[in-house]
Order: sequence, then C-alpha cells, then structure tokens
Amino acid sequence: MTQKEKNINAIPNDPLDELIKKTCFALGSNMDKALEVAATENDHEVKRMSHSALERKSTLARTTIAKFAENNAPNPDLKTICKLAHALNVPPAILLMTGDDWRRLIRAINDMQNTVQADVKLSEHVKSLIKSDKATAGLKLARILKMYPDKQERPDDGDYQRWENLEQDVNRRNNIKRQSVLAMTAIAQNVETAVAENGSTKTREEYLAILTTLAAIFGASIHTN
Amino acid sequence: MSSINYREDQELFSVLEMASQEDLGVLIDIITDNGKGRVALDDGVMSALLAAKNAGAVQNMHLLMIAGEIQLFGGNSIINLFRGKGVAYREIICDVADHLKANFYDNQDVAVIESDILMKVLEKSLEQMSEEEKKNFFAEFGVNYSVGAGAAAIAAMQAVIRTNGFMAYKLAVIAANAVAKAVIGRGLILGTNAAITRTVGAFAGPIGWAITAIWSAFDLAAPAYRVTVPCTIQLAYMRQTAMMKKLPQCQNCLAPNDGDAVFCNKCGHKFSS
Repeated sequence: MTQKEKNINAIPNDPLDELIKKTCFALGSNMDKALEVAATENDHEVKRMSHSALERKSTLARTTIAKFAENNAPNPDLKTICKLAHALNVPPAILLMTGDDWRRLIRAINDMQNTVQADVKLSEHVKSLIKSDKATAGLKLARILKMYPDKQERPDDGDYQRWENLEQDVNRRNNIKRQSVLAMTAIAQNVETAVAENGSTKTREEYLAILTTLAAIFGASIHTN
Repeated sequence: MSSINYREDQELFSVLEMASQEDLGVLIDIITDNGKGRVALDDGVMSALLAAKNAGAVQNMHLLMIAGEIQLFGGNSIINLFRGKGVAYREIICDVADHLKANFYDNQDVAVIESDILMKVLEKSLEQMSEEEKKNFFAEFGVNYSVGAGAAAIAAMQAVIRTNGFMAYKLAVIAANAVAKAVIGRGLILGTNAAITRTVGAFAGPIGWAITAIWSAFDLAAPAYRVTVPCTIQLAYMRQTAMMKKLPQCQNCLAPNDGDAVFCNKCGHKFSS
C-alpha cells in the first residue's frame, strides 16, 4: 500500500464514499503505471508515454488526463474510461481494479489451486453442484469451504442481550457475504456464454467450474465491516 | 493407511510432545472441525486422529499427523506461487502475525510471536468489552486501566507478558479457552491451578466474539486460516503450559515462580535450596 492509499484509508468515511475514492485512486495510478511503459517500441527498453501523446491516441482532453493523473477525476463516464482503456490496450475493468481487488483475486486463485483443484473429489463435486443448480453452486461451495456462513456460539454464562446484538451483526455480515457470492457467481457464469461459442461442451463445463469456484471464493472474501 | 506429510519442525513438534491428551484433543477437534471434516483434510488422517482422541491415546504417530496437517493447512493459506505443500510452523505464525498486523520480527522466538498474535486477538476483543470488563481484565495482569486508555494499557500489558512468564501463561490460557469455546464449542480442561481457572471463564465471551470479527477484519477469509489461526492460539497455550511446568512451584501456595527465586512471589514462602 502506498502512502497515498494509506492516507485515503485513514479517513473514516461512509463505505460508498470510500469505495468511490479508492476506485478513483486506482484509476489514476493504474493509468500512470500503464503510461510508464506505453511508448515502448522494442523489447529491451521501456518508454513512458507523455500526456500529450496519450491525448492524441485516446482523443481525450489534456485536462481530463491531468485530472486522472492527480487522482481527482470528478466522475469519468463510461466512454471516457473506454477511450483510455482502448488507448492503453487494457480492458476497462483492469483500469478500475484497486489493490484490494487484486489481493482478493490472488487469494482466490491461491485458494482455488490449493484447496479445490488439489482435491479431485471436490472438483468433481463442484461440477455436480453446477449441474443441479447453477445459481447457488457458488454459495454451496463457500459453505463446503467453511467460508460462509459465520456463526456465533451462544454463551453459557447468560449474557444473551450482548450475544443477540452480536448475532445480529454476524447475520448482517452473512447477508452481505451471501449477496456477494451469489452476484459474483452470476457474473462469472455469465462470462461463460462468451467462452461457450468456440469451446466444446467439455471445455465449457471446465470453464464453468473454474469460474464458479473463483467467484465463490472471491465473493466470500468480501470485507464486511 | 493414511499418509503422514510431516516434515521436520522442532518448533512445532516439541510442543505436541509435551502436551496433555486433553489439550491434544482440542487441537484435533479444531483440525477436524469437531469430526465434521474439512476440505483438504485426508479422510484417513481424520479418522485416525478422531479414534486416537476418543480413546485418549494420542501417540507419537498421531502427533506426526497433527503436525503434518498443521503444516499443510499453513501451506494452503500462505500466498505462494508453488502449489500448496507443507510449510514450517514458523512461517505459518509469521504469516498470521503479518495479517493481524502484529508487531513482530520473524527471527524472534516462536513463543514471542505467538504472544504477539494473542495480544492482537486481545486488542480486537477489547472492542467487545464494557469499561468495567476492561478494568477487570487489565487488573488480572496488574495493569491499571482508566477509561479510554486502551492503547496505553495494551502497551503496558505487552511489557508485563514479555517479562513475566506466569502472566504470558495466563493470557494464553484465557485466549485459548475462549477461542476453543467459540470454534469447537467447548473450553479447555484445566488442571489443578485453581487461581487460573476462576479468571479464565470470565473473559471467554468477548475474546471468543472477537474471533468471528477477526476473519473479515484482517483479510483472513481463506478457508485454511480457519484452521491455522485457532491452532496457533491453542499451540501458544500448549507451549506456555509446557514452559510453566518447568518453573518451580511454591510448596505452600502452588504459585509458579521464576527459576532463581528465593522467596515465593505470591505468599513469601521461603524456598528450600
């Protein structure tokens, strides 16, 4: 985490505000990192692309680019983001990825390889889950991996009032987690339609299983506080 | 026959060797999720461990299995370009301490890193304590607490447990009991040390509650952390117990004392030399 990112994190804000700030910061720094190598013409010497060169290539206004670079793009519209992504040869989504998103993605890949892919029985089971109900397969997998739901033991000393408050909080977190897993699974599985067009049934099944697994772990690792 | 994946790791194995059957039973329950099983836990290993636990006969072979599984779960949780394989216990606790943002150096004694992890769990559980509970809690460790002085009290307590073996033990017992209760639904079976037993239960709530919050607060969502974090806390307690056993006990009040003490630090009884 850079100093700038830390400063952003230090200010307690409402979660939506924080998300907007983080994403805005990500956009600026991702653009900057891509620009650092964007004018490279051979394999052994990287060259930075200037803002004016980017202006020509992307047809975005200089002032807009400058605002991105200062991490205070007010509210770029979809077209602007796509223009920028197109000029830099990266998917628009990548420009919006924050450090936290990458961390979760890496964790999900790590867990998928070590926990699910390493276990033949479980890998097969994921496929059967998808066959029986595509939409909830990710949620069921998160359950098997014990990533969802969290539980709060009932205390035996009778402090039930506090326990109830805590349980409410745990339920709130579980609701967020459930939503996150379901939505992530749905989006990932939707991607699969694009894959299916030039893939065999077998490939399609594999893609679906991998996407569902990745989405389930990614979704269940959402920060809920 | 189940395979044993253990690789030489004295910092882990020495604790298991000295542990009681009851404490190993708690560890087995954490690893096997109370016998319900876990992904990445070999069925053969699980049934062997459960059988040994139920018979109260956890033997050397089972210790190797336990150590091997902890190493494997640790390997699964750590971000690594190479596919999961067992890693040394030191690497596991450094990774956990790192995630909890504990103050530690990776060349420190494992017992110290374990204490740092316990302190972080404690810090989180303070959020769940009322002012009165905080006061009582710190008083147990001889630290004065005044309203709003959480950070200062934590720092003072850190100093206390660094220098006083008994206090480090006490913290480990309180934390391990609470975590065992929260994770496997039952606390530790504590022996004859009545002075400890009385205080242990009182703080089980808040510390146990913190464990649920810790998963999402500290980027520990990976399934393997659900094993390694509670295991680390249980092992910290087992290590402290083993260390306590080596300390001389006062014949008069049974309080443990430092090795070179001449008088008991609790009742003033003079030790025969």
